[in-house]
Formats: sequence, C-alpha cells, structure tokens
Amino acid sequence: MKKPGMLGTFELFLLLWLYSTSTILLALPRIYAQDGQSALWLLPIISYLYLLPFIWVIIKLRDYFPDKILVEIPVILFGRWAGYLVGWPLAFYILFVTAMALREFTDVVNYIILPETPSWALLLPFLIASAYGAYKGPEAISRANVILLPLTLGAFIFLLFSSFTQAELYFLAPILGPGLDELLISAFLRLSVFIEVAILMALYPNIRSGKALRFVAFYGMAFSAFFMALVLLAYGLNFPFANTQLIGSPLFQLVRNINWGRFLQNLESLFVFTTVLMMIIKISLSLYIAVITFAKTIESPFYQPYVFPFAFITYLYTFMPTDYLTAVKWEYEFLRPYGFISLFILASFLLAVAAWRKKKRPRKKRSLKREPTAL
Amino acid sequence: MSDKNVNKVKKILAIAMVFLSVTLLTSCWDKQELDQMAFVLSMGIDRSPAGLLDLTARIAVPEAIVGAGQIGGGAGPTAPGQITKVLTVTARTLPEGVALLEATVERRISFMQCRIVVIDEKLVEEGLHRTIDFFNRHREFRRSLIFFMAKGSPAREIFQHAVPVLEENIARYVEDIVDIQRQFGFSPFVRLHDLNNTMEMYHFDGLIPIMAINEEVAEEKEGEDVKPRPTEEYWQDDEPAHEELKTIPGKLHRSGGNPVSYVGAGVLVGGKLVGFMNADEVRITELLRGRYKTGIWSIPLAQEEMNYASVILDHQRPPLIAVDTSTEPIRITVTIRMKGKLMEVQGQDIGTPEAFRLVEKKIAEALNKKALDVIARMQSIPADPFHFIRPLRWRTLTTKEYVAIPWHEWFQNAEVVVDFQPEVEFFGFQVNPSRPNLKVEEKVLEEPTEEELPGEEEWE
Amino acid sequence: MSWVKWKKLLSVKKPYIDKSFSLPPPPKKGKSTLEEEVDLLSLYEPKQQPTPYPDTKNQAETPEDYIPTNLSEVEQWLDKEFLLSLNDDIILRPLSIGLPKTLPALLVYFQSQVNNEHLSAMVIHPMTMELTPPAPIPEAPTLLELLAKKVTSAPGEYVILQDKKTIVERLINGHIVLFVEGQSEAIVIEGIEVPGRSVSTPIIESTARGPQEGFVEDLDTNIGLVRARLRTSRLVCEIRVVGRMARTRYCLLYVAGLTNPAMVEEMRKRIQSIDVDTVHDMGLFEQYIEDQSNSLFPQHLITERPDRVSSALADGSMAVFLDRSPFGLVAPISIWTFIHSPEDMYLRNPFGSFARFLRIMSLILTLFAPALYIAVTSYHPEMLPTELMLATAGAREQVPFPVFIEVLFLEFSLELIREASLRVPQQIGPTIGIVGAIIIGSAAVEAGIVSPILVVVMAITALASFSIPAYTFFYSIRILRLLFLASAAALGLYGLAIVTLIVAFHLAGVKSLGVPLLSPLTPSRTVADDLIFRGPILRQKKRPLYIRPLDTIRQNPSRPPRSRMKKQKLRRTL
Repeated sequence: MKKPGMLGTFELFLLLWLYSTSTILLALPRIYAQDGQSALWLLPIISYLYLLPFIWVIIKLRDYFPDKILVEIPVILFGRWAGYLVGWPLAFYILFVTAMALREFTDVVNYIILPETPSWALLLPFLIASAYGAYKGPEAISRANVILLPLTLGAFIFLLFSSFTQAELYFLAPILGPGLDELLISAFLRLSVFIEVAILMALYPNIRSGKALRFVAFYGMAFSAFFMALVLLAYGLNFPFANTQLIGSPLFQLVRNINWGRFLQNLESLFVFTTVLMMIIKISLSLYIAVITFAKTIESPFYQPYVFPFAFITYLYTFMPTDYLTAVKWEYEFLRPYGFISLFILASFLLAVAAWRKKKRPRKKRSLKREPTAL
Repeated sequence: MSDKNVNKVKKILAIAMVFLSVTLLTSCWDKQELDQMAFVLSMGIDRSPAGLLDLTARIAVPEAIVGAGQIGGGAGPTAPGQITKVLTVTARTLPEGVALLEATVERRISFMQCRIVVIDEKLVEEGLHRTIDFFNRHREFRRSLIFFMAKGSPAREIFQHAVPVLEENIARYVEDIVDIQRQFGFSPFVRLHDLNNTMEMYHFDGLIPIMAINEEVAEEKEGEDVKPRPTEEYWQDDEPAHEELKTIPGKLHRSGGNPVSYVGAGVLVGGKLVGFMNADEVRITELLRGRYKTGIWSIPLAQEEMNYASVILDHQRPPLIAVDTSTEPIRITVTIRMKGKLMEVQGQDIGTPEAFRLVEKKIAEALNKKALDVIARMQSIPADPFHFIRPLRWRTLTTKEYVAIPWHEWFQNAEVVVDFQPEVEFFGFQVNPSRPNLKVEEKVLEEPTEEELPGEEEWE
Repeated sequence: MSWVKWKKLLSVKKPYIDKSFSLPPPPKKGKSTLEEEVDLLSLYEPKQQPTPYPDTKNQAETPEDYIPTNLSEVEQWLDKEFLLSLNDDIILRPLSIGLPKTLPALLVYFQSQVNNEHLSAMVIHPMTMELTPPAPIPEAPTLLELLAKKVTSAPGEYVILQDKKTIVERLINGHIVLFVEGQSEAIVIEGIEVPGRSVSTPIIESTARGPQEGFVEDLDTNIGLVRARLRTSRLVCEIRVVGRMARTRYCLLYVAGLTNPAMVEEMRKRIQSIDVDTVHDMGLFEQYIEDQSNSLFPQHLITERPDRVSSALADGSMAVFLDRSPFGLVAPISIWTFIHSPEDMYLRNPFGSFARFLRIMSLILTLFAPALYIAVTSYHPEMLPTELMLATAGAREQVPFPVFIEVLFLEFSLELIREASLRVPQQIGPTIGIVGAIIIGSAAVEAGIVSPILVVVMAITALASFSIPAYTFFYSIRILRLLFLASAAALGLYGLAIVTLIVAFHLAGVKSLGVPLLSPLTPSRTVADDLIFRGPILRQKKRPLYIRPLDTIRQNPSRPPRSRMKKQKLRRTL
C-alpha cells in the first residue's frame, strides 16, 4: 500500500476539533438541554472527565501498533477471522452513524435555506464533494480544514461572540441545573457524544509520533469539550431553560437572533455556509474511515476504489429513518451508546491482549511488529 | 484514441452529466428571483367580529421605492401608501390567512423582510401563546421580530393611519421606532424572543409595547397627508395646566405628524394581557429592569407653580436589587444610580454644590414616588415585569428549587424600597439662570395683568 | 535603610569600561553554512549522467563519424547533412589562409546566427592576412591550434573537434566552424549573436518601486541579469538542451549549499524526462515538468523580473530559463507567492502589509462577489438589509432575465473586453475600453438588460481581479469565479459551500515540485514572517523552511536592534 500521508499535530488537532464539535450543530444542544437544563454547558466538561480512560486506551494501543489501524490489530493478535469479525460490522456501523448525522443535517438545511429542493437532490452534490475529499485522503481533508478555518472556526467564534452580546447573564442560574447528582449521571449516559475521538484509532499510521497523539487526544478533546461547553453556554444564556428543550435546531435559532444593527443581521445563511463546510469535512473523514476500515479488512492494497460505492451506500442509508426525530432517536439512543460501549470494550480488550503477549514474550516485541508485513 | 481513453472520456461525460442534471434540476426548485417575490414589510393581526382572524399585510412595491429614491430625482411617489400596499384577508388561522394572501397577490409572498407585527388587544387578552407559535415555527420569521399591541383600535386601522413624519421607507421607519424604543424607553423594546422568554420563564412577567391612534391627529388626516389644524381648534382640546401630563398613547395632546403613537405598554402575565402602563411608567420600569439608557425628566423643584428643573439622566450602572427573604413580607431594595446634566432651571439659584444636592434630592423624591406607584399597581395584579427575582435566582442551585419559589405571592405582599441616586454632574454653559437685575426684579415678577400694554393698541 | 541602597535608586550603575575578559566571546550563533567548507560537489553531483552540452565526451567510435580531411568531401557531407541546395541560411565560405604556405579552408556558419562584422573582423580578416610567424610555437603543436591561438581574435571559446555529430551540434547553435584542407579536425569558434531585443522594462509585472528591467529572449542575457544580482561563486548554472529536434538550451539555476540537493535532483529528473521534439516556450516547458498539469492552480512562478528570481534563489528555490523565452520559472513555491509582489518587500513593512491585505481582500472579492450576489438575490434575500434588498429588487424590476443570465452576460462581455484588448494593436487599445464602458456602463442598463447594482458588483470584481500580481494565477481566478458562479446559481450558498470545499480539497493536494502548495500554512512550517503579511525586515531572520534550504538563517540572528547600536554622533567639523 502507498505510504500514508502524515498529519501534523496542528492539523490533527483542528481536524479532531471539527470532527467532534460538529455534532453540536444539529440536535445535540436540545438533548443536552433536556438533561442539563440551565447547567447544560457543564455536561460536556463532565463527560470529558469520564472520557479520559478511553483516550488513555487509544494512546496506549498505538504504542503497540504504531502503523496499523484498529481493524488490523485483531488480525495480528488472533488471525484473519478476527479481522473479519471486527472490520465488516465496524465499517458499516461508521457508515450508518454518518448517514444519521447526514439525515439530520439535510433536514435542517433543507428547511432553513432551500425549503423546496427535495432532500435527495440536496444530498447528491454534498456527497460527491465528501466522496472527493475521502478519495483524496486524510491529508487533503486536514489541509482543506486548515485553510477554511477562518470560515469555520472563525465564523463560529464570531457568531458565538455575537450571541454573547445578547445574552442574559441570569439565565445561567440556577447554576447546577437539575442537581449535581443528575448532572453526573446524565453526563455519563451522554458519554457517547464523544465517540468521535475513536477516529484516532483509524488514523494511527498518519500520526507522526506517540507524543503527537497524546497531545492531540488529550488537549484536542479538551478543546473540543471546552468549545462545546462554550456553544452550549451561548445557547443557555440566550434562551431560558424552559425554552431550550423546545427548539428543534438550536444553533440556527441562536444565530437567527443575532442583530448587529441594520446591516449585520439575518446571518443564518452565512451560518449554513459554515455548517455545510464543517459537515462536508466531517462526512468525508467519516467516509474515509469507513472505507479504510473496509479496505484493511479485506486486505485491499488501495482504498480509493471503494470510496464512491461507500458514498452511495451512505446515500441510501440516509433515507432509512422516516423523519428527523427518528434519525435523532436512532443516533442518540442506539447507535452512539452501544457503539461507544463496543468500541471501548474492543479497544481495551485488544490493549490487554497486546500487553499480555508482550509481557509473555518480551524479546519478541520486534517480531510482533514485523508480523503484519509477512501476512 | 485507444479504448481505454474512450472509456475515460465516457466516464468523464457521465460525471459531467450527473453534475449538470443536478445543477439544472435544482435551479428549478428554490430559485426565487427578487422580482418574483412580494415582500411583506409589516403585519397586523385582528380578531374579526365573527371570531375569525384578520390578517393585514403591508407589501412593498420595489419599483416605486427605487423610482422615489434614485432615478427619477425626487418626482416619484413618496407616501407609504404608494410605495407599499396594504391588504387584509380573513381566515380561521394565520397560515390560512397567509395562503389566502398568496392567492390574492400575484407574486409569491415572502415574510423574510417582515420586521414588525401588530397584534390586536383582544388577541393579547386571549393569550399570546395561541398566536406566536406560527411565528416561532415559520422559517421566514426570526425571533428578532418586533411586536406591538394595537390599543383602542384594530391593528388594521393603525396600518391605514400610519404616516411617518420623515421616513419614506417603511423598513427604515420600523428600525427607527426600535432605535427610539431602545434609546428613550417610552415603550419597551420587545421581540418575539422576549415574548417567548417572559412567557415561559418561571417568575418573570413581560411587557408589550402599544401602538395607538391619537384621535386628535387622526382627525387631521386627509388622504395620505396629515394637515395640522388651525391653532384655535388645537386649543379647544387643551387641558388644564398644572395637572400631571397624560402620557397615555392615544391621549397625548399634539397636532400634526404621525397619527399613530407608540408609547406605553401592556403588562403580560404568561402571555396574557393583565394591565397597562403609560409612557412615564414604562420609563420607570425600564430603569428598574436595568435597560434604561437616557431620557429627559422635568421635576418640580418647589411647591410653587411653574418652577421646574429639567435634567437628562443617563444610565450609569445596572440597578442593584436586593431581596431580603428573612422578613415577612419580604423586602425588595432597589438602588439605581444615574448620571445627569441640567437642561433647565427655572428661577432658582443652583450655583453651589449644596444646591446641586438639593436638585438631586428632588429628582430622587419624584422618581421614587413614581416608581412606588407603578410597583404598587403591579403588585395588585400581581405581575412582576421588573424582574425582581433575579437575585433570588442566583441563590438557588437547582432548577427544582427555583421553580418552587412562590414568587408571585411573595411579590404581591413585598415591601419595596426604591433608592434613586441621581448624580447631577454638570450644569451646561450657565451656572445660575439668567434673571432680571435686582432693580427691576420686583417689577418683572409681578403677575401679568389683563390690561393692555402701552402701545399695544396700535398693533391691532 | 542605608544611604547606599537609596542611591541605587537614584543613579544608574555605569557599565564596566574595562574590556579585557578572561574568556573569549561565545561563537557567533547561526553562522551561515555558505561560509563553511563543505564538499558541495558530492551533494549536487547528478546521480544519473545527464546529456552534457557540448557533447564532447560522447566520442565517435567508427571512422565514419570523423570528419573527412578533404574539403570537397567535407562539402559533400555538409550538403547531405544540411541540404545545402535548399537551405540558404547556411553559408559555406571558402577562403585561403594566409599562412606562409597558403592553404584553402572552408568557413561554415549560419548567417542568421552570426554577426557579420564580428566575423569579418575577428576571423576572416586575421586569417587571410599574410602571416609570418617567427617560429613554430611549442605550445601549438598542430596547425589548427596555431590558428586558433595565434590568428583568430574572437573572444569566445574555441574547440578543436573531429566528431561529425558534435560539429553539427555546434553549428546549429550558432558557432562558426573552420575546416582546413588536409586536417582531420576543425576549429569551432564561438561567434554567436542571435537577433533579439535588448533588456527593457517588465511588461506584465511592472512595479513602481524596484528595478525596471525584465528578462528578454536571450538565455545568456537572462542568466547575466540574475548573476548581476547574486554574485556568489555558489550560483550554479547548469546549461543543457531540451527537445529532440529543436535542441533548445535551458538553464537550471540554484545556489549550491543552499538549495536542497534532493530538489535539484528531482528537477533534473523531470526536465530530462521531457522527450519531445520541440519545446518552444516556457509555457510548454512548465506543463511538462508540473506535478499536476491539469490542475486549476499554477504550480510554478513564471516571472519576468530578475529581482524576483534572484530573491527566490536566495531563499533556496530553483530557477529555470529557457532560451528564447522571456520568462523565468521559479520552483518550488507556495500559493502565497502569487499574492506577493516584489514591491511589498521594497516598501516599508506597514505599506507592504497593507498592499498584501488589499490583495487578499480583492482576491476574495473577485472570487466570491458575483457568486454571492447571485446566491443572495435568488436564494437568500433575507440576508440583505430591507432597504438594500428593496433597492436591488426595484432595480431588477425592469430586467427580463434571471440574475444568472445577467451575470453571465456581464462576465462574458468583461472577458471579451479583456481578450480584445490583448489582441488589438496598441494604438487602438483605449478604444476598446471606451466601447466597453459605454456598452456595459450605461447602454446595457438603459436598455434594461442588466441592473445597475450588478454593474457595480461586476466592475468591482473586474478591478479586484487586476490587482493580483501573478499573471498565471489570474487564469485560475477567472475559471474559479465561473465555477463558483455556476454553483451559487444552482444551489445558493449551499452550492457555493460545496464547491468551495471541492476546490479546497483539490488545492490541498496540489504540490509544487513535491512541496505542498499550501505550505507553510498547512502543513505548518516556520515562516520568516512573510506569509500573508510581511513582518518587519529585522525579524525576517530565517529563510522559508518549506523549501527545505540547507541553510536556514538569512540574517544574523544575534544582530542587536538598531536602538542598541552605537550611534555616530554628528559633529560640526569646523
């Protein structure tokens, strides 16, 4: 296989930021508002603390297999069958989660700016762009992300700042929302919001060093959690807690309130622009990860041929839920929690086995690494 | 060309076809040229006598606007009646009204530029929650939509009577009203967002600004123009001096200008109309809420008649509200600091710091009295548009605790102390008022007599 | 507290004046590798032997490859080689050398490539003169050496050759060949003077400040222009030929010890892989060596300014010149180079930065303004403030076409003006502008074909596009603008976002000689304070690292700021 392109720490950091933060663009703030009421912004911060063990597992796993992705590890440890067992479901799981996010996104965009275009037509160019990005690989995706940063992170921060100017500070109180105990419990239950961090396991070969991974995983996720908290804070300060749970597309509603005077208002179209950019980058990375997982599972030397078929499958999956609310329900009640649990168990199990094997045969550490090339 | 190349070309062609078809197809769906749309600039909603909804819309005529402003050089039509058209349809629900409107106007109706909605008093009495869901849900309305309540006459009347003094452009007219609202606080600045918030938030009550037709001016309106009536007629409506000026929107004694006035507010509890405030009271409420910016106040300095001091009072810092729940009934203390400049002083020397303090004291007393009056009236409803619960909100930790506060009962019986602390900082260019010198002072201060002055007869 | 302590607060302690220290000063930081003794040749030695020019090493193996000794046979051979009866450009001038013993000789040259006066004065005249050598010179054992060293007075180099191929090679490159009866070798004398214009001001990259000379068609002149700005012994200039038939000379310039050898090797490999009969111009040459010749973005800087080339060389890039092409090619570069103008550096930091800012803004404007106009007016009218929207709508009331057609019409006519003004003779150039202004400016508006607001938008767009200093990038912008326009017409801001991302994905993959075009932004590399905005000149201490120069320091990093330098006091001398 072609040598994978390397991602710089800076690029990876921003890529992880975008990948994990873009969930906040859709239904997530409403779900957080149901759980956290006036303290919704505390939830991602608490969730991040719960997430630390998972991040630790991800970092440790790379020390054993620095140039492999997750699905190749069971092959090395157990054999071919294990690879199939993990790889196939994982690839299609990623596709399905992607499709759910895509569905929510399409429905919202469809309503906000292009109400009369049917969603199939809306989605087609979108997916072509995403597939092109996936085709180009993570290197191109991360670089595109960096050059468009003024339009994504910049616009986001501008919009956040604008909405803070209209905030009512006393919406922050009562500061603990439903109570600390409930916050802690619901933060734990919503841990799967951060399942995005698992993409790092598919990008192992693209990461320069363990140090870079450690930095990106810990601080990158911390930044993402902080950013999400900031967005939720903006949301919570603009709408009272009785209201936050009622709004379907919270961030858009937030943006629609911005008013910088006569010439700078009605910015939601601009925000849609930002959202589309972020979502294309996210979806193309998801697509790449699904495809690379699949390609590695079937030991294909290239991943590029599978990109467009997979994009088409995603396109079909997108229309499986009957409506927006179903997509949200599937995503947040089934796909994410169970996916998170499975991934966590899988990764920790692989880590344990790898550590155990290494301990058993400390001398043969080198052969463990070399083995895959022989396979 | 080899086979491989032919295949490649075919592939590229196929991709190009897909792209082209997508682009061509999509442009049929959502593309709306500006000249295919009818933009609603403002809307009015009434309860018709039959119990249906009257939906009044003011639709812009872009061609007339351009003709008036730019190309023609001023000869074009300028009155709102010519650059906009007012339509009314009656329907059972608002969306149905919109549908009927679409059927009436040749072009597609767009609410994207709609900035203002005037709701009839009756509808507010029924409760706003029944009306505003349409606005919350519809993609073309934003939560920054401005709401007004029509008092005294249906909203439709207001549309018919509105004649802006200066603005030709209705959109700018609305923006200006809002600016004035925010600046001087004679009526509260209320968006759809605020209506929603005050309706849903626990223990907060809201206001809604009032638009009303001033009968005196409305009589002067002929066609599109307001012709100020002769002074003799104007004086007929004069009211006795020395009484508190009426700042009730429909009753303000004036002539010329816009027949529609927008001062005063309705008080909402849970989105339902429960009371009214006049313009002065709204200003006091804005002060207590902390939204006040600036305003001109005239305060009687002494018991003597016609002896006023006028000041501009500027916002200085947010009001300090303290709620003492240990007492029974609870005690609410509000401290408000303002900065001021003297505008006029009648008759009295104020050229010393002590005199300044005296003026400050007088202002504080007057404002205090006004504030307590308003608060007492609100307590009797009970409604809390002053948001006095804010300090208590900070003292609760969980939402359950906060929701459980029996605020309206507490507020009803609360003992309120308002402490205005105006700081008059500067006196303008004049320290003491100019007055006749001591030699002639006594003569000048005499009461004017009915006798004819010398030489006056020649003038008649 | 004692008085001494207080005193410290009042007066500043004076520095030591004694300058003798027990230890020597620390070695200077960041000494340039250019000053060190390194075996540079081994670094830059071509891994694969290139075809050298002149091809002296490729010696003939069979006797048929040697020139005949008899002049008539030489003539026959030349006739076969150059089709003398048809080819009138080549001149065979018989002459007799005026040595003590008169010898018939044959001078062969291309008339068009040789200066006649020069030839007559330097070669023909001394040769035909009666020569009385005092004695045979020991250093000149053969007759030809004697002729070459003693008789001719041409300033260029001379070679004595006997290989047919090489002689033909030399001839077509404008050298003069002298065959002498009875000699198995020939003298090849440089006498080339190719017609061409002299150095003049740059045409498409003119600036207000900076040198006012541009490259010309002549390769040697161009090299001379660069070398005059970069007088270092390390400036290497590899001259080879490209094109099977045309044998055009090119020159690869780099600074040994600075430019990364791997890059030089890569460049050589790419150029040598060009296997085509002719390469007429830099434009063709560029496409052959590009990473992605189908890309929308240029991957090399094509410039006609010697100062730009020399500054790029000093940063560690390479330059290539092609004979008969008045442009130099600079690689590797980054995309930011296209918005840089040499002027930015010649002006002071605030002015240069301002110019860059203006250019970035105009780049964004020219790319997105028409597309945004379409998107907003036909999909998102809520984005405009009401008055502006109503004014736009009012202006559009008279126009029968959809906005997209309107924009296309204007875009098309602007392109027409641009194209026409390139083609027409310079004398009637201004006419085109007037015609365009009248048609577009007023007539189209009055006829109700376009709305006046759109004319304003498009005029600004066109103006903004002219502020981009790189001509090759200008084409990219035009195409991209149309692309954005079409996407915005199809799906509004949504389509615009999608196409923006596709372009970004594409851009992220484009490389200039293996260096990502977007670096040093991403992949992020240290940049010498000169990316989008240029920093103060004293802070630009490092060379741009994305070119991976061997020596990264440009300026003495330990140079103290000017405020700390000792000032020379002005004194009145009288």
